[in-house]
Amino acid sequence: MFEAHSINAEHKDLIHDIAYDFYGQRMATCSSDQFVKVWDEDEHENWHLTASWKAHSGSVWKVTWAHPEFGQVLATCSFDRTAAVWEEIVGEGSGPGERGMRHWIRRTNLVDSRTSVTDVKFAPKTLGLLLATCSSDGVVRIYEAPDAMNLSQWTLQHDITCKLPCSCLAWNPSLSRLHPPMIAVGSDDASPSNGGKVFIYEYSENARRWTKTDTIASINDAVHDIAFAPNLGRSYHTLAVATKDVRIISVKPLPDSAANGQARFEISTLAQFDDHYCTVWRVCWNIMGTILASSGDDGCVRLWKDNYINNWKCVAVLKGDGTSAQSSDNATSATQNSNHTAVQPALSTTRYQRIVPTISMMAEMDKVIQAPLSMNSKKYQTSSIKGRSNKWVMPGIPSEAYFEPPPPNIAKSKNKK
Amino acid sequence: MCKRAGAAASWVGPNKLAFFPHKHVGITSADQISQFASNEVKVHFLRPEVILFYPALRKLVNESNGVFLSIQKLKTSQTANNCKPEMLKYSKQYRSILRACVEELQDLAEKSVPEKKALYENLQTIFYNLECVWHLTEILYVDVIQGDVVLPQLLEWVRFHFPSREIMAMKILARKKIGADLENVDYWESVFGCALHGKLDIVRALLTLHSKADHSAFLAAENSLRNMPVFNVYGGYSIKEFTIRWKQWQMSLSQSIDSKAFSIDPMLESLMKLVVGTELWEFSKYAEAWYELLVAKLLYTAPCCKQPELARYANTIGMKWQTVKKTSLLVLDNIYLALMESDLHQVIKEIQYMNDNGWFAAHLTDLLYHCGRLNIVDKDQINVTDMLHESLILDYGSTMMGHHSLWQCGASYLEHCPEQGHARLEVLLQTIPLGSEARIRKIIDVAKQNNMPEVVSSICKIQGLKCIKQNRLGNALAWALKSQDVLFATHIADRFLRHYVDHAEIQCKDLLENLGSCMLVSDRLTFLGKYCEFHQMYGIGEFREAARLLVSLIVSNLAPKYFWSILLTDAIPLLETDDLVFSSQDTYELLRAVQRRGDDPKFQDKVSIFRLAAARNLSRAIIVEGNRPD
Amino acid sequence: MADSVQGTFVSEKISKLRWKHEDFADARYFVSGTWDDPVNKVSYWTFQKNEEEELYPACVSSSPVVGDVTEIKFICKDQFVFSSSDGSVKVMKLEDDPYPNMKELTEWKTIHKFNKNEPAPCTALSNFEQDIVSVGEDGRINLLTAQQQNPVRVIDEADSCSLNCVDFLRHSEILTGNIRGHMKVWDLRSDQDVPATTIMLSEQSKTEATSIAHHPTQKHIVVAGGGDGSLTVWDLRYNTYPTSQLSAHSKSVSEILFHKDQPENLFTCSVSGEVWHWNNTQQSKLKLDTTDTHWLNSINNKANIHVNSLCTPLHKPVNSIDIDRATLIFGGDNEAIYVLRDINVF
Repeated sequence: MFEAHSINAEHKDLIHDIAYDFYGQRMATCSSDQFVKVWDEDEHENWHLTASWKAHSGSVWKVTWAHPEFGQVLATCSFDRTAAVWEEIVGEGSGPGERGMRHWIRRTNLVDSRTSVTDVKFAPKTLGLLLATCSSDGVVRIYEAPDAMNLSQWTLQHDITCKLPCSCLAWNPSLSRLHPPMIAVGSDDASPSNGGKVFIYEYSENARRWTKTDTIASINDAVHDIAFAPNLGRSYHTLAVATKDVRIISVKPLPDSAANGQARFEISTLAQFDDHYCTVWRVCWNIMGTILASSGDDGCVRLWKDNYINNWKCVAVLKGDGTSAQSSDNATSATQNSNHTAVQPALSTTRYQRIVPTISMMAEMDKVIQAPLSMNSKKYQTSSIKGRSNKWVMPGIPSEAYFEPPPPNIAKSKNKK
Repeated sequence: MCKRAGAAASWVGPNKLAFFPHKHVGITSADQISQFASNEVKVHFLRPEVILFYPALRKLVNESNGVFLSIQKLKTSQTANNCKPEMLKYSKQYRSILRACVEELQDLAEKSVPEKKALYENLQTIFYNLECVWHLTEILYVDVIQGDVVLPQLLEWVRFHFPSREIMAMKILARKKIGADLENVDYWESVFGCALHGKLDIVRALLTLHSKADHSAFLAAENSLRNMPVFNVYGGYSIKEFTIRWKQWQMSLSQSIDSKAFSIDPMLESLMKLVVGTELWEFSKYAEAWYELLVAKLLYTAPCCKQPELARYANTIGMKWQTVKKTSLLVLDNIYLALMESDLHQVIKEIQYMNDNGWFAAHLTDLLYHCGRLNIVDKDQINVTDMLHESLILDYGSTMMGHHSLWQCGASYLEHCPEQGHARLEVLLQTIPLGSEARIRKIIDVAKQNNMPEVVSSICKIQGLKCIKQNRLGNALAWALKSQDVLFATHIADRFLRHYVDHAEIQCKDLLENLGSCMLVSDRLTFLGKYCEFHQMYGIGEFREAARLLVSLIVSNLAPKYFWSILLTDAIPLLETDDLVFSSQDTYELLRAVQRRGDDPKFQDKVSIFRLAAARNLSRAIIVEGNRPD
Repeated sequence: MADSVQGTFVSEKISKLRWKHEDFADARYFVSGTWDDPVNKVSYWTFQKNEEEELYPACVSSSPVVGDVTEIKFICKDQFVFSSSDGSVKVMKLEDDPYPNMKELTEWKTIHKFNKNEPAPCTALSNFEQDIVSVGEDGRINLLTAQQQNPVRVIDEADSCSLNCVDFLRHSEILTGNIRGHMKVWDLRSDQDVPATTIMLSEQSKTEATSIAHHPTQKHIVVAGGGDGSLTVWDLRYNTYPTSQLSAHSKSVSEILFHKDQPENLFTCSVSGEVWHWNNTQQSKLKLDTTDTHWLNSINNKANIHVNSLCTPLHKPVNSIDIDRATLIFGGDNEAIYVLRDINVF
């Protein structure tokens, strides 16, 4: 079963992005209302709004946290053509109590773009304090704070021109020294004739510049979001792409390819799912890179997981109305959506229960349904066992002769050696 | 709202998902207020519920963790495949943990309010079933059975898990009244039930309470049952000898039945037909599960059945059960069947649906793995045993890592995943919220144990940053030193020095004066440490030593730019001491330093004083040195 | 001996275990503290017989604690004081009539704090009868007395680093240890907020001091445990250099405990999961030896120290031990309380 609860995000318009800090204890939200809000979770899992400020003069598209080694730092990007870096400060201004309002200061405003800045992402911390932005005019910019302890000084290190408008970017989080820094950029250019829509850039230490090393030719439709899975010891990188469907792409570096001018990577599609039956807008990996969440206009979030032989499957479908139905304070939206139950004949809450085991157990959906049934039908008299070494006591035993040999003599595990 | 606008989701930590209505805005569309602006914007948090986190089940989690780790130890300490006896011991420990758990759930269910009661009863069912499956697995795969004759263990298993008929029989026997068949409606049910389980002692006892117990038919039946040979490894007979004896007994019973020896009572006759092995299915109404019939079948027709033959019997009975009972096999039945058919791949697939968050699959698979009983090939005939084993343990360990307090337990599973465990632990360990320093030390301990110096360094640095925010510069430095992060140590040393520049006060003297060799981690910190030492010497009147330190600080050129005026100013009183503390060589160094560094505006008003003092000191020094015999 | 270890799983990580000693009998009760859950507990335990006629610990009363329980000490027969990582210290009274129960007597709320009011973990406390001293991550020392609501004395900047442990050596003297291994002796008769002496746990490794214990009768003999698993012994009468130093456990020492009545016996437990019993094999000689040389003072030169591992190491840290006569209890992060009976103390 899923445990669910909801909060009112207090934004005046739709949220564009939610980002969690490294520990999942702080949440930053951004919205078309031009505000950024920061929420802190207490030990009882309640979220408290601790900061809210007007960050930009246009819709705020994305918000992202820096690694905690750089302090409490956020970056945002907006329709107003800027990206900004924010730092939380404590001390003088903070009111009494631990959960008073916090103050966030704009440490820098990156104004190089001439069009809407569509994405902003911090580099993996091993590369230092680096920030990449991309914009709708097709330029990717890499900024660096040379002194990681000084967030006010950022220099534009590189600008890379893609030929198409950029909608999203992702750093390869691989921490291995074997791979040069890598960025994937997606374009939401809708014309298939313009070719592949995901570009891979790598930084060459020798040339001190970023170069496009590959284009994923198999994706010609508009790309709305991309995400690298954390690479936990695999020989290839896994990239999730939100386009007209969900794609999971493997990018495998080929040995000795740089020298002889051949392709850098072997790129293959691990999985492709059109279960959303509509455009997929977002993809997001969990921290281990084991489960991918995808979402689209159908109002569903689908979770994808691979098994031990890298077979990808949908393990759960989360429906917006289902969520609402579970939290009582949200009754209005639940009823609003009741007319959609035709799509999913089962009650959405039951649907949740059914998909549950799959979350951790990579099961096929149809099989799971029968599992709870057999579990719940109490076939056996459990009440008869009592006592650690199965002493179900026989009342009024006539004579010793009727005793069966004592049940398997179970070593008492509580008597630890 | 999600339905109308669309939705998006972000992961929170390892296993939580935040879900929010979201409408994608394309690059080209204008930035304007959306049609949803008037609606309340909600964020929904979803997390799979983990039953293992209930306090009642945490005992199981922790205790089984201990057994799991003992097994892993065994793996490394034992080379040969002779760890069977230990494995049986561990298997029994796991089962005993399961039983303790069921028992506790039972107690809780009794004490609880109705809403909770259902929950506990449900959990009780889950874990009871797990134990039952485990028990059978243990019999078939872990226990070493002499001669491979599995029947005695199977009987035990069935008797243990279906005690109701025995209890029924005991109640009847307890009354000790002849004519029990007339007074107890369930008399024959308990007779047949016990007979199915091979509890012939009880059957005989029940027969003696029958109203016609004195009749010769009953006496003959009693006699025949008493003489039924029961196979026992230690009984002194080989399987062959036993089979001959058993066949003889069966033959003579068969003749008695044919000669209508038991026809006085049709029920008695049926019983004897069951025992002789000619009837079975008409007793299916006394069985709750197909495998009750299976053991009866084996007992009365194939008592020496060995494990490889079991599959055939199991399959036949299982299939017929479905047609006779008009039911289909449930998950548990399929598991038992797969176990008997030695299809462990199927077993592992099925046990993942047990709603126990992967506890069972991980631990049972691991046990079988270490017994050397696991050999799984995929459809391409590639051996995937290791991968399957690891993936189950990885999943379970990761689930545990997601808990506020059970992360240590989770880590100890990931530590035993040779392929991906290290990388995953490295990621998850860093996302554990830090909390008190005691907790941080425990997290660091796990990182150190797994040889993750970068993780240790990163955690220390993050704690150091937190200390800076809390205005605890000394403690921040302590953590910076633990992190061995040069830039960070330098940054903190700078803060100390700047504080001195602004306030003429050295903070955290107790720490800085006792840095020892740790100060060498960064040049700036070395400078700070030495500068502190200079102050210390100066403070206790050791001017000569203080002067020596000051000169070495100046010569070393380690001072940051903003600090030069302080260093040079510090030299002035020492140049003017009554006892000469700077040699001529020292003084030249000082003058050179002023030449190079004296342009600091803060020092401008002191330059002339400095030069004057230096000149005076130089003259004194030259005189003293000149008078010194070479 | 290992056979008589009895474990009870309690579903919470144990941070502290303390016997409620009786005057002329074996202790029948103990209290426990837990850590690392959002809400933790102090609990009051007795022993009950189970179906197998074994005595096993049974909780009779517990009280929720915000934050981790970081130390528990009995200040008299039926009252104990405990500290929490939310910066507070509380005195609890144990009652047995009409039923076993705990009652809160005094609370000092957030007496450890960062800046003005952010709670700082109280990391340790020690007591001399009713006088209590607490230390915390804020580097502060609070002197409390059980009868008084306000701290008797506060040394705000006692240490610029987090203090990890504290010991009340005598009524006017305390010893603190910080995360850099700096140990400071404080003379409470002095008005000045500076330590009387500073000594170093280890010159080289700069590991943290994790626990301190002094000899019950020869109070100048002090043992401190280090984050690297080492034990360091001082004779505070002579000088600030340790009289002996030895690497003992493979990981941080969690607690050091002298047997109250048989001080030749020392017990230590560690994050490595080990529980060790230290004593001197040449007991007869020691018994006669009325001078004040404790075997601890000479461990370096003679190899006649007897260290006995009381059980096979646990897979998780052991956080706390306590002994009453011949019965030892210990517990830790595997969420179990272990009882070890009939320990050979002499």
